[in-house]
Amino acid sequence: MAGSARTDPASSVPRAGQSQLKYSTRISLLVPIWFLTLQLLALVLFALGFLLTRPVLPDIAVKSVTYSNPDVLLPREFKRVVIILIDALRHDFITSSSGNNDAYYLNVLTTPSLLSASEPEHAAVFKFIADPPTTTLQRLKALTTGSLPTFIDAGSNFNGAEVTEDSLIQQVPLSRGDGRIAFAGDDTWISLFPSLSNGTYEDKNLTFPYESFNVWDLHSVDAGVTSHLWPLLQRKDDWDILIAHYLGVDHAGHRFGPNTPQMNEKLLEMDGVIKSVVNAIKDDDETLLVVLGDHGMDEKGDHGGDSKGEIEAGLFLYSSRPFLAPVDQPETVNQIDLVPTLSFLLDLPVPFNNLGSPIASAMLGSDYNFQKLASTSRIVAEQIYQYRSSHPSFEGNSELAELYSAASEAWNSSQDYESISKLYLAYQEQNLKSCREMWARFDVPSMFAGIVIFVATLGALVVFYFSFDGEVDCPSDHLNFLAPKVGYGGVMGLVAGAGLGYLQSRLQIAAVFGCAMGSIIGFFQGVRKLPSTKSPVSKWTVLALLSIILHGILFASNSYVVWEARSLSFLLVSFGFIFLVASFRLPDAKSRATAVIHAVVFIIQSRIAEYPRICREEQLPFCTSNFYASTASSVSSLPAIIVLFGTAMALPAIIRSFLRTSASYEGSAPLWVGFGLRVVLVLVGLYWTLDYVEADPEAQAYVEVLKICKYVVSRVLFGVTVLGAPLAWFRGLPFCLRVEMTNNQQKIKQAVQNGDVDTASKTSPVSVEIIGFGNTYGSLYLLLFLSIFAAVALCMKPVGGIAVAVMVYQILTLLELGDALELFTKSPILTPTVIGLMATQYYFATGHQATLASIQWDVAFLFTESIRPPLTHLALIFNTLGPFILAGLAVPLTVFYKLSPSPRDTRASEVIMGRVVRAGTGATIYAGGLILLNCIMTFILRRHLMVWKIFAPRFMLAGATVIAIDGAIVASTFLASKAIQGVFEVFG
Amino acid sequence: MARTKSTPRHIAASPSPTSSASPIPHKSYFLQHAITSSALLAFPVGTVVLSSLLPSDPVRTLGFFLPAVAFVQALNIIFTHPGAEVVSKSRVTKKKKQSEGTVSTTILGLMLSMLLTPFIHLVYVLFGAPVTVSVPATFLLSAHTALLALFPLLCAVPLDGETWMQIAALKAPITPAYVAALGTIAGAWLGAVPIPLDWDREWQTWPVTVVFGAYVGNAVGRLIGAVLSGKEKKL
Repeated sequence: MAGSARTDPASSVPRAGQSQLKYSTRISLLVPIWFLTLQLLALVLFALGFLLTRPVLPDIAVKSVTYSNPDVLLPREFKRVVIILIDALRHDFITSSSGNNDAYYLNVLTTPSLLSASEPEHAAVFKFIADPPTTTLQRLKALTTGSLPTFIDAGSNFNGAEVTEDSLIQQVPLSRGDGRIAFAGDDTWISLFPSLSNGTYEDKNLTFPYESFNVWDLHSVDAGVTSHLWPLLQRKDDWDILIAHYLGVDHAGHRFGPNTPQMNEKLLEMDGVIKSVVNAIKDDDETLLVVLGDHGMDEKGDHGGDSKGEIEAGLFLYSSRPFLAPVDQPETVNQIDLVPTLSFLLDLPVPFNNLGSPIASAMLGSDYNFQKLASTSRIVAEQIYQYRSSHPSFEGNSELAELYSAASEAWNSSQDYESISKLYLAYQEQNLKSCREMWARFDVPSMFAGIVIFVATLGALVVFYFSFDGEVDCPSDHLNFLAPKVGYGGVMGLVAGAGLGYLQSRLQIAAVFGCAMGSIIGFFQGVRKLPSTKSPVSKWTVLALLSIILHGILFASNSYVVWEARSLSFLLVSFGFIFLVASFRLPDAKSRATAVIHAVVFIIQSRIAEYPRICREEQLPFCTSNFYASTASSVSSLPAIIVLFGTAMALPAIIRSFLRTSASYEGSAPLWVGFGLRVVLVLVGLYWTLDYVEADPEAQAYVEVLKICKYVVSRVLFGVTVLGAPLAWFRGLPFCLRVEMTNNQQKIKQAVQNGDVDTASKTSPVSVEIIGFGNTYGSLYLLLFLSIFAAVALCMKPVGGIAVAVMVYQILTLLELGDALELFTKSPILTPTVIGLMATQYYFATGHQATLASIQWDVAFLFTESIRPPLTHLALIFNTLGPFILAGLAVPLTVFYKLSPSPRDTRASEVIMGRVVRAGTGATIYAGGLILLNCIMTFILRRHLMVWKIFAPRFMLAGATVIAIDGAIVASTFLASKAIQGVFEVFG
Repeated sequence: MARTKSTPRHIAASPSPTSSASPIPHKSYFLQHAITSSALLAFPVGTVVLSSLLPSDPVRTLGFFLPAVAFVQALNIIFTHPGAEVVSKSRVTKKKKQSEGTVSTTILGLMLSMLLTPFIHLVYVLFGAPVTVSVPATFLLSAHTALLALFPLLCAVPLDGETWMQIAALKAPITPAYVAALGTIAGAWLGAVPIPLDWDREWQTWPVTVVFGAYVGNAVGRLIGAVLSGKEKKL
């Protein structure tokens, strides 16, 4: 019988062997931990150099002497301003469109365009260009400080960050006295300006922050804002700036997409709000109304990047007093231009860091007076000049200095205010340009240091991989010798680096670099003294290394980064055909047929994995998203949920068929796979069904009930799959084995009767057969793997859940192929590499792209209604990096699959641990090779036109990949050591 | 003429292939293959020279040239083929019909390779060719691939399972037809590489680069095969 063996009834466990094994498996963990640390350090160094920062100056602006210059004529000020910030208000939402395009979002929010057409001196609509990243936090910073964000800011959307620069919000209390700002809406404002939430504001009942991140909820923030807006409008003597930040449009975009009835409804509601505010200030010519979007949205309703739809927001200005110079064409202004404009219209000093230029039509006024424009332009230019001269990094730009002196000269000598304002504007524009360029200046030494560590780490990985023969060696034999050398080297390097770095005032970078390089040098010193084992390099190993290079080389061109999912599918299908050819080489007809079938299935899976996709902007028009119900929405489709239920039924059956090949569908397997996994996956389907029903407008009445049910299901599932099942696994290892006792008395008797003494004496009276013995390790570890898989499947959208289920199927197919083609022993790096490639492929198949906008933020509310660490973060991590985590966890299976224990042999168990570590090293080589090539390409292409759009997000993905895979390898090595110890305890 | 009546040069299934190695006049075969290769390469190169017919409407051009390619291939097979046998199901009826046998073998091989075109189409789809759009283009590409890779092989090699298992395992001995088939596959594989680049060139439309790759790979493979054949090397 296949996959079974005969042993005597379990004997006593040798204690000494067990503790020896425990020690050697524990110490083996040091290997993946060390590599994880090295790659983390290298990543930090590279990222510090690459993801840019800018100087933030603490200075606060005051009105300069120019304000009192006799030539200076400023626009008449308003007493107060009402700012209605409609999050993600795209420009085309508020412009009138005449075409026959009947999209849900067109010609709905009509008040701004109607007013600006009928009263051009009172009202105007502008195209409002936001700088990327188009995330709310960064936009609010720009809208209040008038400065440019740098890329590193993008990461802090979750935690917020206090604005420490000069801003409109800081200028108000200085000029108008404390507590003159009223606020209702998105609580991001509070994280930016904590002062708004305490003291005076609270006493005067002026601020009403709302939780901002729950994109499932379209109405509660908006209803709250509106309910506070009317009373605040009545109390107009209590404030000078009233900010109402609506989130419904943004959430409708994220949740449903722009071209949906929900968006239509939301825009109608916003139109109503604007209409009533306009009516409320109709008789009050001291109030200015500003309606603006902080950014737009792409065609799916997401934002964060720099596509046209995302950066083109809408701006609408209105006052019952004529204050605008009418222009024929709709004006395009930069988002930061609003800062100086509002400063003048409110008679505040322009914030110290401002880089924007005042909006011309508002400065000219209805009397078309260029003296006003020239005056404000001069003040802003002066402010910019002041800003530039207060930081050394701005020094030495002669072109700008010339522009400034030319403009000042014209101001002093001529009265031609039109040309003066043009000269000042030229200075301001040139300054903006130079700032954009300058803040794209990389810290090359830091980037270089990161690359050097990556190279050295990859070298150490390869040396480590090749210097141990997994068949006979266990790394723990040498770790006693190597670990101190590595540690000593690290400490020495840290000291040396810190010393040298201190002298060069680059303390942190040098210390990190020294520490990492020191430990690597220590490792190489130690490895040299070890006896070298030279095993021939298999062709499969060459193929694995080649495929890593092929994947990494994609990062050399923006086209391949854009089309990475398809390129990877091509690569994996090619792998499948190579497996097919190798299968045909098998001598045994039966195993050949099996291998051929598995290779064909692998090819088909690789092709299918390319199918679910969400297109990035650069792929259009050659790509159609199919991850959600339609291209312009982010709602899952009903068919996807139905297929998800089908998957819940099919996947356990598929796993059973794989386990049956080694007769391992015994013992705990039916309970874990046939029952447990099936129920869990059905509940995952139930969760997404509830979610689907909840999104239905007709189910509004039951929303509360549905919500409760949803959260109960998701929390129970998460608890079971992440805590319950793994704990149960640890406590009592669920072997997939069945013990079968056969009474041989009859047989012996017969043998004696036949005179076959030999058989009679060799047959023991009772024989014990262990069914599933041949896959003891594999089946045991697989159960734990499936538990984590279920958690990942829960955190994926329905199509993503189906995709990861296919990933599990493909991993099993690959394992079966590896077993048939003896890949695990011929080249321990090959299968981990292919699993790594698959992980990247399935990252795309689960509705992601290498862009910030593709992060599925809404899963943050999978378990809770508000942000609750760690559940929120875990849901996002599982959703985004799930395929990589699963890949890392699957790597020990390449050793365990169809591996039977060697009873009473400590050494054999140690060698298995060695093989696990070696396979893990293989996966780390994939991740390390990938990030190294990515960093090199990013370094070379750092001045590329597409660097922020394509290469920087891909670098961030590669960084996340390496950390996820390395981390999962650490975890899987630990879990594998538990499995090995457990098997040893039973069979030892 | 090159159609020598020397020992048949067939593959693998024959028990003593070594003995058949030496008497084949390589030089003349090399010339034949060189002529065929250049004749076949004339198709992609010619389309480029002739006001880039192929890129503007790949489907029409591919369809137009298909018979010509089949003809050139058939000529090459008839003139270089030493009279291989087509083994029907019962090996007992294995006969060597020299002159008319070659022609009938060629016709049979042509028909078989055309019949196998949908299968090649499927392989292209698995590699990422569009499923629902550009179906005629992919199908014609498959037909060309069948003519380049399968047609000569089907004529040169006995139709028995074991031989074709050897071919599928890439373990067959080197012959021009076999290496040309491998070259076609490798060329078509490499031909897919430039498609994603955002150069917006006409020649990047599907399946132009793959057609070019297949033809160039076929020519290179055929020549390599002609040089190395008979030396009983295995890849």
